[in-house]
Amino acid sequence: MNLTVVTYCLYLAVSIALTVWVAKTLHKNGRIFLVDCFHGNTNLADSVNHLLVVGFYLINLGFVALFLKIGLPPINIGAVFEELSTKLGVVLLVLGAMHFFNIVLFNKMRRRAQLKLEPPPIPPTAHA
Amino acid sequence: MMPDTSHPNPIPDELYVFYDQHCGLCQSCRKWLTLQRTWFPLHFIPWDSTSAKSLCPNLSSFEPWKEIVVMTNDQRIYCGAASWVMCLYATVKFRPLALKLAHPTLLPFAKQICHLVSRNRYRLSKLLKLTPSKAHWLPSCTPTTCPTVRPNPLNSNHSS
Repeated sequence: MNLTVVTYCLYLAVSIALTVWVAKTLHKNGRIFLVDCFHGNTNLADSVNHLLVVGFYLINLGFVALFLKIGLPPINIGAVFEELSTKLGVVLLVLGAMHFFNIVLFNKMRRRAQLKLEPPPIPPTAHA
Repeated sequence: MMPDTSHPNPIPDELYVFYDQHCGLCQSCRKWLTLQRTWFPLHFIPWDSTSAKSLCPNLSSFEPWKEIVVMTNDQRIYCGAASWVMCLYATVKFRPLALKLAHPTLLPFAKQICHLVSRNRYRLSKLLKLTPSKAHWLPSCTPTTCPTVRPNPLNSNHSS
């Protein structure tokens, strides 16, 4: 097994593990937001939560797969780590961006749900 | 989480907007509001029509010829700036703005602006070339025949 394959294996293992960890965190902690958004309808919240996590997995794993190829084959262990750190750094940034995008999405949905139930902000002038 | 019906000022199911059909600016505002997605239906009724009188027999006591008047389905009346806040509150996009405008710090300014615009609405219509004839793009209507708003999937949840 040459150093290029070692780099690929390590890159895939760490990237997939990180993606799974972030997705599980989102799935676990995003549920409460969604239950609030859907006015306590837990079945719908769970369904949307699951679909969001599936989308998250698809986008991240798709990116990890596309970003796999390295330019020049590493010549020693030091170069393997340099290559890995660059690759994993980008993957982490993309994961972070996706994570924040999901949080913003959850928050928007929650805000919208709250806005819908907001009573009129001003008392009536009179009654007919 | 359901709408709080015990609230002294609950969310209305419908809003009747009594406007001045002879003013181009009012017609344009009506057009703009009709194009907005809303949380509940809006009915636009000229204040001097028979439909308006039958809906709200004491409408003239609220001086609808001076400033816009809106009425909820449960007979709550809002005049002037409050009516504008209610119209914005009805829209999906501008509800956050309505909540901001209703804040005690902004409401006095909103009242002054509404008062100023209402007082000079004919002059403004002329200035902006919004003649009532041009702006007569929708016929007068009754609550049952009024074109209200574009279908909004969000409304179905509210009414259920």
